[in-house]
Amino acid sequence: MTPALAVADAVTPMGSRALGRGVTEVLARAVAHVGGLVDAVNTGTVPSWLTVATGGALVGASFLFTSLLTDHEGIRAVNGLRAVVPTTDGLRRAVVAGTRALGVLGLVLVLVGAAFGSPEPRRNVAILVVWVGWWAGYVMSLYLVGNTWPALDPFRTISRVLPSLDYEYPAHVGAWPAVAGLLALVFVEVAFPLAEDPVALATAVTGYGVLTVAGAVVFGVEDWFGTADPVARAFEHYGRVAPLARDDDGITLRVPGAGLVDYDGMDDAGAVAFVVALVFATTYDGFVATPAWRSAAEAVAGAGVPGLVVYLGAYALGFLAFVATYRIAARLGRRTGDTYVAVVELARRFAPPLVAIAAGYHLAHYLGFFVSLSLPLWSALLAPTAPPAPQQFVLPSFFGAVAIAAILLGHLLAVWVAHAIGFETFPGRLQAVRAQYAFVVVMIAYTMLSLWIVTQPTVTPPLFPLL
Amino acid sequence: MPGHPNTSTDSDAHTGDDDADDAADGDDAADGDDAADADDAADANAGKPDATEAVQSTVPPDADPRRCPYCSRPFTTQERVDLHVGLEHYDVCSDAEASAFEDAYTDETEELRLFRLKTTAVIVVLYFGLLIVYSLAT
Repeated sequence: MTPALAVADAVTPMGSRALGRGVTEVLARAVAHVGGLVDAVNTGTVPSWLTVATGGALVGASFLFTSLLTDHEGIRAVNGLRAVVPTTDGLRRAVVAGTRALGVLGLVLVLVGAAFGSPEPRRNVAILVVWVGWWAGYVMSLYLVGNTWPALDPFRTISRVLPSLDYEYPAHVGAWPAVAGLLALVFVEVAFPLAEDPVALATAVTGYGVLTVAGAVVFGVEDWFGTADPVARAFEHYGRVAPLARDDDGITLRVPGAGLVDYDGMDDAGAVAFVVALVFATTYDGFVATPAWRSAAEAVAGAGVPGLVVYLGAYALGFLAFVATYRIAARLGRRTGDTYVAVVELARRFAPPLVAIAAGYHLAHYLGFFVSLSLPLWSALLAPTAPPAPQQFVLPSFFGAVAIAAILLGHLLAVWVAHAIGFETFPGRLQAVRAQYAFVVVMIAYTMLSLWIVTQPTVTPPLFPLL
Repeated sequence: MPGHPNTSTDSDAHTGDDDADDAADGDDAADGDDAADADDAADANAGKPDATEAVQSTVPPDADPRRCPYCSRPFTTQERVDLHVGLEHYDVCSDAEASAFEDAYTDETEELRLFRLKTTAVIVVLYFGLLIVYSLAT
């Protein structure tokens, strides 16, 4: 037997511990939304390399267009546009209380549904609520509408009623626990069959919940969820893209992305690394489903490297490469901008636009997934104990174009936000444009990488024995 | 950036914000903190309501920076200081500084005109280049 065949034969010997099954692949294979996407891109008249090149060119051109807008006050005025949506205190309290109850109810539903629901993923209420309802649908609402997670998060609600030990959160640790947490969560999602096996999902949710509540009890709810909790942090970032925000006047309507321009939550290197991790995680999730990864991974695994090492190694190397690239861009920005602004300060200031990119990428990945699986989700919610045989919406073929548009929109928003940040940072108009060169090159490269992944045929990530 | 001693301005201005944000977030359905942030930024840079908040800078040891007389942020050229004073401290600066700002701004506009011409040229080349590639490839 050749080594390659040996690997193929060794697929999933450990049942539930199959490495490399992302949520989208598992749940969507039958849905064929990815197939629809690839068809829309590849059976048209435009070859996929040209789609990729056009995406890069479009981002570059939009940077050139925005660079023609060089009025400090004008840019500030656009991002400063605000309209107050009137609300009353009573209404607000009622909505918050209702949302908190809904969150706890959702958690109970997931845990009970995982234990007693159907073992079939597309009929199991826990799996559908978590992946379709929460991770796809709800997360979209964060960047399209506004961040409601602080109220909905059941673990925050639970932590609030528990006594707090109130240890001081170590300031020098900063956002690094959130970086580690995010990387761990995404890897667990890719490596374990959380979208297939309700018990594995419930175990992961419980594990995360215990750690989170423990952290909040030790360090206090606000410190933990404001700094160290990866989910709260990611969702707070996404909320910055959204047009609605809460402030002292109630609910405020703003230009999408304006919340990223005056974002001063990037306190330390960890906060910047977190944003890079957010962008990287979505890329990795898509990348392990490409044929290129499959052949590369099979070659490495065929040489006798354990599956866990292959996946984890690529994961760690990829993340370090993303961090290094961003750091180099900040360094170059200091040079082309001819400025004394510290490299760490540049890295901090230009990190928020990446959130818009991550949001666009999320939308591209999950909009079709959410729409087609919203029907089984709804049936499972109506009859959690005995959902009918799953039926799905069949997506029209233009959904492939919607995904590409979402990626591009995210990048265009990022270009605009970075432009505004450049003008907030530098007094010279040409200087503000020149300082962005390296960041724009990185964005173009990242757009092309994202589009390349999206236009690849999606294959099931290769499965190896773990060790 | 280890070993760079010249950290200008109060980068500590950030640390306080977080707590305010989180308290606000924790209590409500929609996130939001912009009003609070704006206030803090203003406090950090007294005098200008919408001033950019503290900018952490590092000056190479062999450099000779020009500094803003109001917030002592270092710049590579005097023109940049003039522009910065006009943009961030216009309401407190002297008449001489205001006119220096206007001069620097006008000078830069000349330079900007050439830049815009180049930008437009690149956009045109990009557009027609893609058009040709599309006509060949499809």
